[in-house]
Amino acid sequence: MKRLSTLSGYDMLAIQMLYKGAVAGFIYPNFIIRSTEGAYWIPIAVWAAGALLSSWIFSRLLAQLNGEKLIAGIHASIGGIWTCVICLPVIFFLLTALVVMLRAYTEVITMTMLPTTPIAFLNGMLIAPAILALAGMMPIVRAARVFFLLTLLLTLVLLIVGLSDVHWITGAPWIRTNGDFLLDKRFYAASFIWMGFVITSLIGPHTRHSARRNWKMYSAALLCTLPLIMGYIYLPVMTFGRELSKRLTFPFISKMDSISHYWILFENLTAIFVSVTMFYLFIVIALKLHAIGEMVAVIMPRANKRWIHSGAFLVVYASATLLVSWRVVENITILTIGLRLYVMFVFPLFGLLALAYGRRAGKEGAL
Amino acid sequence: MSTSGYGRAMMLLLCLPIVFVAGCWDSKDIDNRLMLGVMGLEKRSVDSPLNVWFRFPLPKGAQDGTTSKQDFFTTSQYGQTVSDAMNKVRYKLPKALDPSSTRAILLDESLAKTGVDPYLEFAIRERSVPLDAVVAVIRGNMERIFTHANPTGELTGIYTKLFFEKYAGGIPRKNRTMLWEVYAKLYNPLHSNLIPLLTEGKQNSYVLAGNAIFVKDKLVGELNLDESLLYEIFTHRFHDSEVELMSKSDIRIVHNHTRVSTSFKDGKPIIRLDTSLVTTLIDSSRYRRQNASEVVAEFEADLNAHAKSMFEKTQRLGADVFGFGDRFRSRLQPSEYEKWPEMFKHAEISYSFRVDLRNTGLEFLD
Repeated sequence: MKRLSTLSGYDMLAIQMLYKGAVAGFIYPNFIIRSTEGAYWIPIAVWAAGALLSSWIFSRLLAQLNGEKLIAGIHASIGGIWTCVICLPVIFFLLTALVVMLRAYTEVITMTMLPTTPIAFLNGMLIAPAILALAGMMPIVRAARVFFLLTLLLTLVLLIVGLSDVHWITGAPWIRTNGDFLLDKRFYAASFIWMGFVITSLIGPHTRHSARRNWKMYSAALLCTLPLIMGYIYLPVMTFGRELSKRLTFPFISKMDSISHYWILFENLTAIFVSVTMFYLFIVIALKLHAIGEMVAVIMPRANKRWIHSGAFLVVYASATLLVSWRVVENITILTIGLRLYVMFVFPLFGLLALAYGRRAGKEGAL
Repeated sequence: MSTSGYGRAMMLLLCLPIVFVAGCWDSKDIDNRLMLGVMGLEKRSVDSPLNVWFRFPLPKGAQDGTTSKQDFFTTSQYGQTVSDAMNKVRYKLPKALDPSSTRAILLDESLAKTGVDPYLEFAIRERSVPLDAVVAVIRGNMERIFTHANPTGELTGIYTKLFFEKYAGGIPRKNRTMLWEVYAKLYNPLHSNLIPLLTEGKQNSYVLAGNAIFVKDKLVGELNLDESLLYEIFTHRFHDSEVELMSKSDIRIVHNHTRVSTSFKDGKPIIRLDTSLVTTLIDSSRYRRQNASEVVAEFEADLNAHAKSMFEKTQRLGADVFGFGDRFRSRLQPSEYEKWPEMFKHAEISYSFRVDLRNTGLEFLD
C-alpha cells in the first residue's frame, strides 16, 4: 500500500515555527506597537486565541478527508464552479501575502545592506523558492527540516543577545489595557502572522489522524514561538522606549543595530538577522507558491503545472517590483484584512458545508 | 537529453546571468573608501550654518605615499544639515565617504544649547551612522581636537570609543552614552538625556568635565563629576569601581546596590532611594588620622551633599535624567506623560546610604 506523504508532527512543528520566523520580524512589531497604548501582549494573546480557533475549525474540516487533498475534496463535493467561487479569495490572499512578504524583505535589504541595488534585482530571490515549490511538497519539507535547525539556533542567540540594554520598566504598562487595539485597523492587519495552519492545510493529503496531530503540533509551535513574537516586539520597546519604537519602521532591526559588546565577534548583527530571515522566507514562499499551484491545478485540471508555477512567479515578481513605496506595502496589508478573516474563519466553514453536501449527495445517489 | 534534464539545463542557464550582475551595485572596495572615525557637529550661533568635522583614519598603506606622518585626515564642511554637509564634503574627497564605521559623534556645546534633534535625525532615518556610536558634548575648540594627533596613538574614532568604554578607559563618571540612547530619550517625555561633557585638553585631546543635562533636545545645565558619580549609582549604570576623594582619606567604591521605590501621594510623585555601598580605603592622611566610623561618616556626608545638589539642579530644570518617570508609566495615562517634567519638579525625592567599609589592606584602621 502506498504511504500517504502527509506532514509528520516534527515537519509541522518546523514549518509553523519557520512561518512565524518569516513573518514576525518586519511589519508585525510596528503594527502591534502602534495599535495600542496598553500592554502589547494582550493583542498578541487575542490573536493567538483566534489562530487556535481558526486552526481548530480547519482541523475539523481536514478530519473529514480520507487521504485526499483539501481542495480536491471540496471539488469532488461541490464541483468546479463553486470550488472556484470559494477558493478564488484564498488564491488572491496567497498572492498578496507573497507580494507583501517578498517586498517587505527586499525593503529590509535595501535599508540595511544594499541601498542602491534595484528592487527588481533583489526580488529575483524569488527564483530559488519558486524552483523549490515546483519540485513538490516533500522537497520543501526536507529543506524546512534542515533550515529549522540552523535558523532556530541563530534566532535564539540573537534574542538572547538582544536582552542587553533592556529595561523592564520601559515596557510598562504590563497589565493595563482599555481595548483600544480592537478599534485599530493595525491590530486586524497583524492577523497575517497567524495564517500558518491555513498554508499547511492547503497542501498535501489529510486524514482524521493527521488533522488531529497537525492541530496539536500547531498549538505546540504557537506556544514555542510566542517568546519569539514577544521578543520582536518587547526587546525594542524595552530598549528604546515606546515612543521611539512607534516611530521605527523595523524596531527589531534597529534593536540589532544598537547592540554593542566587546565580546561579540560579529560587528553587524543586523546582517545575521536578515540572513537568517532569508532562510525562513525561502521555505514559506515555496510553501505558498506550492499551495497556489495545487489549488489552481484542481480548478484548472488541464493546465500544465510548470505554467501555473511560472504564472504565479511572474505575478508575484511583477507586483512586488511595481510597489515603489513602503507605505503601499503597509496599505495592502491593511486593505486585505477582510480577505484574511475570510480565509481564517469563513473558508473552513464553507469547506465543512461543501463536504457535508458532497456526502449527502453521495448517499442520495447511492439510494 | 531527457525532458527533465533539458529543463534543469534551461533553469541553470536562466540563473547564470545572476552571477554576472552580482556586485554591480553597492560595491566599493575598501581601498576606495574613506572610513569616517569621528564626526563633529559645530554651530557657533543660531543663525550660523552647521559646520561638520570629519576625521578619517588612514591605513598604513595610504600613509606610505604621503609626506605627512599623520595617521589621520581631517576636513570640515559647512551645510544646512548633516546630510547636506556630508554631500558637499564629497566634492573634496578622492574616495567614497563611508560613515558606517563612525565610532563617535561630538556635539559642540553651542549647538547643543540650540537643540540637537534636527542634527541627529539623519542617523536613524538613513541608518548611515551606527547606532552604537558614542556621543559627547565638546566645550572648547573643536578644530584643535580634530586636527591634533591622538596622544596615545590609537586610530581615529577608536580613541574616543576607548575613552568611554568600560573595557578600556571608561569609568562610571564618564557616563558612556550611545547614539540610540540619545535618540530614544529625545522622544521619551519620561526620561531626559545626560550626555558626557568634554573640555579641550591642554596635553590630551579632551578631558571629562562633567555631564550635560538636556531638556528635550537642548542643553540646559550640567552635573559636576561628583554628582555624575551619584547619577551612575542611582541609575544602576555604575560599573567596576570608582574613587571618591575626601578631606582626610580616599575611598574606592567597589560594589553598590540601589533600591528605587516609587509611589503617588496626592498627585505628587514620591521617590525613595536606598543605596548600599561596599567601599575600601585606599589612602588616609598621616597627620589628621580618622578611625573607620569617622571615614564612613565623612563619606556619607559627602554623598548626601552631592545627591542634594544633583537633585536640586535636575528638579529645578525639570530634567529627569534618571528615568524615574518610566517607573510611573503604569500609574499615568499616556496623555499625562508630557506633564512628567513638571511633576518631576515637585517630586518628593529622599535617599539614604548604607556604607560598608571593608577594613582591608596591609594597614588596618583603628
